[in-house]
Amino acid sequence: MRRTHTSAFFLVAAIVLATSFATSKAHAAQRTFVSAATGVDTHTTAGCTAVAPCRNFQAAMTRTDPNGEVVVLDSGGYDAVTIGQSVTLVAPAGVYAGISVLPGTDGITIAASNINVALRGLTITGQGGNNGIIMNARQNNRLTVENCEISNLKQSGVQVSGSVNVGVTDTIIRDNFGSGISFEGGVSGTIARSIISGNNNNGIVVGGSPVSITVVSIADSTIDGNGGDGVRAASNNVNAIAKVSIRDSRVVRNSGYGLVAVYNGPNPMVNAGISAKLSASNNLISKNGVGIGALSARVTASGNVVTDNSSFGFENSGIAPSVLFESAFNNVFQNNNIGGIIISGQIAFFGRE
Amino acid sequence: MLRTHTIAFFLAAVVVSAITATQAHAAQRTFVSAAIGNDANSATGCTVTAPCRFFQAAVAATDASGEVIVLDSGEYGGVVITQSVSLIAPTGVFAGISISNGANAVVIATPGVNVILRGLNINGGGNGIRMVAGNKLTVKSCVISNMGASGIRVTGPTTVRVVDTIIRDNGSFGILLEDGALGTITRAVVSGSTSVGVVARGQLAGTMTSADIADSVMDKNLSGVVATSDNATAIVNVTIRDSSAVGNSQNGFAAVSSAFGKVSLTASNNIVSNNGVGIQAGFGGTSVVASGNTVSGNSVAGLQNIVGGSLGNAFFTTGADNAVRNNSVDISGTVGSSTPR
Repeated sequence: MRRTHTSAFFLVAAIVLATSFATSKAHAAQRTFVSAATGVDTHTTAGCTAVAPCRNFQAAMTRTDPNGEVVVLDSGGYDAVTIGQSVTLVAPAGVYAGISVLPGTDGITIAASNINVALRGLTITGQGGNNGIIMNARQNNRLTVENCEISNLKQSGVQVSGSVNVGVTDTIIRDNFGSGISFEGGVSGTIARSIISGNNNNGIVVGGSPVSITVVSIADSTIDGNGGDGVRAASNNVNAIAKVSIRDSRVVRNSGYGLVAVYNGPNPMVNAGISAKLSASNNLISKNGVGIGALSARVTASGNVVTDNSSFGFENSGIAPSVLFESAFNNVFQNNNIGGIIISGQIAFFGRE
Repeated sequence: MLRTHTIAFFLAAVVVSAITATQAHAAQRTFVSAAIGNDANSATGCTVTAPCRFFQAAVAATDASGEVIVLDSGEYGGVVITQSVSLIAPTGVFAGISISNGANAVVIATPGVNVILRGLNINGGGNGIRMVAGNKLTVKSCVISNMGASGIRVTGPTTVRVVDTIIRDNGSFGILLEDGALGTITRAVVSGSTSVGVVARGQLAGTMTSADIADSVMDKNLSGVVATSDNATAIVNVTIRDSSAVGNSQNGFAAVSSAFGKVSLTASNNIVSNNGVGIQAGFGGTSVVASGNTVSGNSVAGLQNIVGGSLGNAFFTTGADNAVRNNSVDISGTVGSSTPR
């Protein structure tokens, strides 16, 4: 609101405001402001206030306290940014804050460890750029992505590695040329109420090769139309743990597996089922290649509806010492691999727990 | 709105809106603005054309059960609420409250009041919302983060609704309901609390405290949801459905009674994964019912009924329809299953 007033009115407002400026100054650095309409980065000298906002995130952050907030005042394009401190970048609903990601660059780069970063309401669009949000090889970080839309990147929408905590909520990640979300090498991730759609590679890929435990939980989300697997928990090393749990989600029209856990490291007769694990409950899994797969890996499925997948509903394959795919007797199958095999490999059924 | 008018039209609009807005509803609805607000305008009622600067001044100029509306993005200051009122930042406006000295951001301590908070961003301070008296508290579409103490703490017999709200990275509890607070929590994310995400706690004799949680995520807290009584006549009831309790370092869900007070926890159709213990019941007076949950990958146990000794044992029953798999120990202690019917 009030973002392109005539200069006369703006001056009046500025004069009125001068009287109350003293009170707002007390919190100047806790909260800074950026504006595409009236912001200039020379306002860093005045603290990027609501009345004298800066133009870019990068400049405003230099005036923001640790754990403070940079608030977008009006719609427009804002800069790609490298973050080295605890901060929230927030565009309230109704304000469009677009970040264009140009060739050879990433949208938002988190480039320090031991910090807490929250991103709310941002639209990150690839214009030939690599990743939407990238936080690689960091430790003890917290990253929260809420109400964002991330699309058209050459690589991943969200790319994270290292022993960090990540939450993605109410976010759309679509039409990227790599994977939608890639969590590797120690990430503890939670994805809720999000849409991961139309990415060329996998929707959500969880794994990594070094010694690490990567654990991701997904809820109330839609994972559709991705060119690889919908959700893939992959381990190529018995010490690289990849664990996924997913509930109450739609997993539809993914070209590969809807949901899959894969161990493709050495000695699967001994190591299968140890490092790659998937639990799926109360999901709708339809029109994928295979519904749910365990490839030398451990899967537990309960309460899922599994229909119209072009190959199997459930698949247990690869080399494994025992049955690693367990079904709770309450999954519903219909119309998978029409006229053919519904379930491939051995599935153990259990109940009464 | 109003953003590309000429001065002439803008002034005309001001006159018109002043007449219509101020005459009929002057004190029913007041306004605050970071851009043009001034608390001296409380003398004329914090109108839309002469708004106040901070919530505290505007509330004082608002009728009981009236509304304070945020006009533009900025900081609006901590507030002590002593009347029924709504503080509303509509979508499109960022209304921040940050308290630098560790005091509570929003304080409600007046019996009988109904308070509604919508669209606020509370970031830093003591407790985000601290209610020690009042009738009802509604928190909708808020973000409460980086508090030194808890996100929301409510003590006493009140009704609490939390909807579409994110409560994260707070220094104590995410939501603490105690000694008679009755909470309904819907579509919330409660994440990264140093202590428990959502706790219903009975300490005061003769109180009944409850939390009903649906479609929510409790992750990366010390524990996800805890129902606890330490008084023989303090009753605590908690239900959780279609929610996730994941990556909490101690328990996903726990119900604990330490003085034989009645504690019940019902969990249906949740995912409870990668915690220490998935669902835990502790001691005499406690009853846990679990149905349709997936409980997996917990590092200590999936379902655990602690051996109580002199405190007695809890009652832990399942609907014979949970998937309890791939935990270090799937079932620990006495866990029975009810007959499906």
